[in-house]
Amino acid sequence: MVLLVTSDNKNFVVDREVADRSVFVKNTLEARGLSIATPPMLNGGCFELTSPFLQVLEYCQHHRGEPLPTTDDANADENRKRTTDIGEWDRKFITVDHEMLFEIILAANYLDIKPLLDVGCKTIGNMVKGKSPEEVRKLFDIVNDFTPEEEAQIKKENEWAEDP
Amino acid sequence: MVDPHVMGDSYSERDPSLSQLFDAIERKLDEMLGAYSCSAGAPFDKQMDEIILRASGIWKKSGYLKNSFARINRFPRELLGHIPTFLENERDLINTTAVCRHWRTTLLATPYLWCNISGSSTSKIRAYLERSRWRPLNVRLTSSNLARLLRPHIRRVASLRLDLVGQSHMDQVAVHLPEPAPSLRTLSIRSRHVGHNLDIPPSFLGGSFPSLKEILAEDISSFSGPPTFHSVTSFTLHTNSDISLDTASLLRTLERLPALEILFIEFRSRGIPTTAAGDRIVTLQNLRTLSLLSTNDMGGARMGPVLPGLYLPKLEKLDVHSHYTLESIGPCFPLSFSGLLPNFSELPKAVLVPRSWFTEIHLQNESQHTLDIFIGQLSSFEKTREVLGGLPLWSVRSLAIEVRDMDMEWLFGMLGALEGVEDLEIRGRWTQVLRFWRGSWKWKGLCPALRRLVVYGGEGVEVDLAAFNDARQDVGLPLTITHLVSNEGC
Repeated sequence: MVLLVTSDNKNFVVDREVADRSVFVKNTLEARGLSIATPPMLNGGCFELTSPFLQVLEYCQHHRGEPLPTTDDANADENRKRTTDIGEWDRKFITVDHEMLFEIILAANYLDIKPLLDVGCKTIGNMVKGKSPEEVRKLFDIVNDFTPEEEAQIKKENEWAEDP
Repeated sequence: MVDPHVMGDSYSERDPSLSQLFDAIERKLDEMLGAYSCSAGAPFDKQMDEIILRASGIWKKSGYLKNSFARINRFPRELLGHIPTFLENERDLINTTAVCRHWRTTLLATPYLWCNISGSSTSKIRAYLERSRWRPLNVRLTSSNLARLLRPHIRRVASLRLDLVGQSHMDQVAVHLPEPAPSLRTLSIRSRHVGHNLDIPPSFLGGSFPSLKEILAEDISSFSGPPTFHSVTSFTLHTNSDISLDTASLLRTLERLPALEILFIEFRSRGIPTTAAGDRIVTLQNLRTLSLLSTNDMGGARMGPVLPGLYLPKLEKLDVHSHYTLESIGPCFPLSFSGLLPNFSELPKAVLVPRSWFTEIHLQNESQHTLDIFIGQLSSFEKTREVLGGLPLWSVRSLAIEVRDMDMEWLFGMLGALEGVEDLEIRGRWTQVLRFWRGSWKWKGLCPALRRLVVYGGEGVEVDLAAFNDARQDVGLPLTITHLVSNEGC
């Protein structure tokens, strides 16, 4: 078991297998030699995690035991990016409001949980697909802040998509 | 000034200093406008235009400031740059660069978003080459303009797809790309001038392909001209149009691929059957997987003649599949089988499950060294028998047979060839199974090595095991039937 402490001082005792879904946690524990800390000797690592930690934990628990993506496999990385499909459980899991979605993505990025990061980024990618820049701005509460010169350049680049 | 995009998490919902700043700007503006009086003769219109332009600049800066507080814009830059990797459409990628200045600067500085290059627009190709920086490139070469601009970057090209109009187009590409591409791993060639032999000029990429692993050819019957591709391990040939495959040329092409491990040939068209390979035999020493797929009724005729021309000593997996019929493959397939697969006769275990409308043969040895053979949709039992009849069954140690709609005479004849079978499973309807038992006298002298027999049948028919076991002594069966299992458990 491993003790994880969030930035708002909440303690979570989780299985090592679940904690190891996070490459950050795994590496930190290994570097500190804290391979296993069982309650009541709760002397595991202390990590600054934010409020979506419960969500992230749920994801890690659901996917425990699955093979972790290897960082040095370039092909696997390419394949990971190529598909925009999201599994059924993951899709339901990630159906949250924008704020929570962004929090989960940031947490996955910080904790280095690549599959979860990809699920989050794919979800945003799917939101953006087929939308005009103005529609994307509306979606994410962004305003057009380009200068006229930049606008002219963008207009020119717009034609590139028609160049097969 | 601190870039608000990288201010970190110290941002709160309402920043008092920001409100103070804008209050001060507004007060100053009011004060100046109140004190302003128009002087006679001033070029008022021009000056106003200038002021509006500057005000617009201030407005844009305010927009930039506002955008910096948009939740998504507080992502680290590398994270924002990661999102468009999941966009499949180039239009979507370009649209994302037009959302706001922060997105644009971030995405333009993310090299791997710009590695897929195609088209003919000079400004586009230049921009993609520049934005992709040092990253490996995937190029779809559709214009000589692209070839010309690509030349200084050829060392970065990892995958190259050529959409050719004809042989002259290939020659033209070779002129533009004479330097080696040491990073090239995949070469894909499609010809709109279908069915012809493509001559690859020796000067193409300096005739050197040290990293090339995979070649994909579409609507090209064969290659000539290039040197041997020593490092290529995978070759795929697709035909979508009506072409005649020149088997001899194909074999010559395969000869240039000595390291080949995977060969995939797919026909999606109806056309003239191939020429025969004749006496020519090409040895592919390292080939482990051979897949032949046809989606038309000429598939067997087309593929069949290719097989006898290949000697594949290390083949582990063979897939043959046709969506219509493979009847025409029957005569040539088993005949060439033993020559094709010298290891075949050494396989210790086979499971044979023929059905009336399709046949699936699965061969597996004990060392997890798998040979899968799939033959789709044989139209009749006659054809099934024709195909299976050519298999070297004397090597089989373990056999499962589904006897539904089986020709019993043939089945017993086949069992006669099963000299080495030790483990036998019979599956089918009880009526079939019973017919099988009733003919058990025919077993005399068959299957001398049999040690285990399991029978699966339907429910509702009783079999007198004792009577059968008595009978088997008369016919010299070397074992006793101990149980019959219903199909429910299969």
